[in-house]
Amino acid sequence: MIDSKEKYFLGVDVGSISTNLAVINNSKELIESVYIRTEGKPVESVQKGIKLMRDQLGEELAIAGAGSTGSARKLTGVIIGADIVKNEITAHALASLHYNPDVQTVMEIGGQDSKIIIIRNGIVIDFAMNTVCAAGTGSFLDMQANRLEIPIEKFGELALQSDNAVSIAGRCTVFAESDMIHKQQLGHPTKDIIKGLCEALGRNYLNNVGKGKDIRPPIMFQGGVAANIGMKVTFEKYLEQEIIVPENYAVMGAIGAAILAQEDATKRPKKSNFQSWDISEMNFQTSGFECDGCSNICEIVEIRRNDELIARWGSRCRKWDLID
Amino acid sequence: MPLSFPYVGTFTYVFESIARGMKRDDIIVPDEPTYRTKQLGSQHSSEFVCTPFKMLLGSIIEVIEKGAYEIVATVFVDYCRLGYYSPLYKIILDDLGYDFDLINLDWFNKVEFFTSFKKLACNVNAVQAFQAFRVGWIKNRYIDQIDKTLYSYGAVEIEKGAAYKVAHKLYRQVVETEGMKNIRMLPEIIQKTFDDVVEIDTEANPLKVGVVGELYAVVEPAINLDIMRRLNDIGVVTETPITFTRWIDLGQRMNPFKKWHYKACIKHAKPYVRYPLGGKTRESLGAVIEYKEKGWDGVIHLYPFTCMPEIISRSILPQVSREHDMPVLSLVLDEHTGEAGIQTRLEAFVDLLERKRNDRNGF
Repeated sequence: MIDSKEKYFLGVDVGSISTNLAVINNSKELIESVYIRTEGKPVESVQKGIKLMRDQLGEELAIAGAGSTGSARKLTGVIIGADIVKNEITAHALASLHYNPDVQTVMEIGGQDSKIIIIRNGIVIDFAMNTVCAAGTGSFLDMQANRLEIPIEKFGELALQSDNAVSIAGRCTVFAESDMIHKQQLGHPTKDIIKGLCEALGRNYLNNVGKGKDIRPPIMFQGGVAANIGMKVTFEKYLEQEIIVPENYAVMGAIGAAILAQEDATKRPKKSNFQSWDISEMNFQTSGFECDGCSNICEIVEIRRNDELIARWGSRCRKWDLID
Repeated sequence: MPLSFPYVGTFTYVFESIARGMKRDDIIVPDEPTYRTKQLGSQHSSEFVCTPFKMLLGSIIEVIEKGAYEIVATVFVDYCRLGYYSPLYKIILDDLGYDFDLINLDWFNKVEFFTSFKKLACNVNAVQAFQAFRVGWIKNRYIDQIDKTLYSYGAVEIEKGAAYKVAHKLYRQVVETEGMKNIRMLPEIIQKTFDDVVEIDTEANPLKVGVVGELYAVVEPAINLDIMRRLNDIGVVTETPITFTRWIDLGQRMNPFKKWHYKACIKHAKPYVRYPLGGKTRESLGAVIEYKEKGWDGVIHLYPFTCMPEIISRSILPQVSREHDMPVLSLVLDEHTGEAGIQTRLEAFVDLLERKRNDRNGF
């Protein structure tokens, strides 16, 4: 599988809930991927992910370029030594286009944000992200699965067993939760409530993020929540279209970051900044302090690798900024 | 009595100039709004009032704490809640027990306007007061010139941050220059200083993005999280047609041949909105078409959370954007706006523009 003449590219996507890594070859084919939980510790989870990846691929595999994306892209970029740091919208769009070049709509629901990307003729023409509220994203489903003591993996299956969805207020997670408790206490079966929840979240997504967007097929649905077949069925019901869930739905962001690194390396050939597979053995420390230079009280973050200061950011006036 | 005013972007410099021209040597210059300003403002205002209200209130409280007594406030003429700002400030600040005098410059109430203006200009006669005002509007043009040069040089500068340093020096220079002869030299000095100090990449072909929307959201970096600089940092030239010129520059207002950007925009917006809906609804919509015709790449539309007029533009903008093939990004801002979210959207938007441009050029 591993060819010493082939070039390999690494993509790392660190989001609020999950950390994904993907390695692709020069023809953008996925070689290996890793999906783990971030658990609020982005640095550790990147290290863990790199270790898992190394165990699967072997240390000899040389990385010709690395890209990072996701909400922790800047931090991840510093830690792995990324050649390119890009936002997750571009990364997801690229990965989807590679999977299906005709795709016109990409729906992505992750841990804390949901996006819709509108593509025409292979170019992103419009996008939207959830604005002021995280209702309907992965972390809410996760929380509810926990509360109902159902493994999140079973959520979708259970929803499919129901043919009578309970109506649930999905506009706000706080109200959704109290509504769910209320419905439980009225005696509705759990499967009906779960189906109702899926429908409420689907409606909420289409009414908020998808508002005013021209949703045309082929439609792809990806991100962690795409594992939930109940959500896929909901979208099919409301959009009256077939929804494609790509086989690597959960690591599409990482694949996109790897593709970005590959494109970058093809356009501007240079030696990669990628640290090495030993990242997991290195000692990374992040520390923070409050700057008292003015009443903005910026929170400054410092990142050290083996006691060497490698990055610092967080100040509005930029007097502390240090990024090489 | 110490005189002060709330901080409103670079317009603060213009105001300082006018007050100085009126021989007021007891001016307390407001500080740039910070996290504390937002907190102070939000704490003492109703939750769902627009963000500019909260920020300005916070700024007023800060200058009162610094010892100001006379506070200049004004009523904006945009037919929205902004019109009630000053009376509300007075009630809130009275309730909080502050000792102050609110000088309300309300153009709609001519008697009150001139009484207030007289209080402001207590040290000078009418002619001198008018002259000070005139110097103010002329200096405003040069402040606008610095802004405009900064937002284009900032995108292509070789040493990051150089243009910003120069601009800050120049703002002060504009405020401190006295005598009409010296003031008239300023445009040349500004251009020359930028050219001399800021080394730019002449090969670059940067993307160009216009920023429109609600006045305060556009001009105040503290609420829009310094969006102009963020765009400059990712190599995008930007400008905003929304400045104070159209209101205070009586010289240009009296010139019948002056081509006003906002008037052109309003004309463009006619097929979508025929009559004023308050705020900059029509201007925001028309600006998309205006920038398209100018050959720019995209438009960013900023509005504060709960801003009524701009919510209307926001819902019509996708249609304008589609019909004129001009990408538009609407961003809603409030005192809690997370930086990460804005940055992600901006970067994605710029990627979109870049790919669109390359596609057009057949790459």
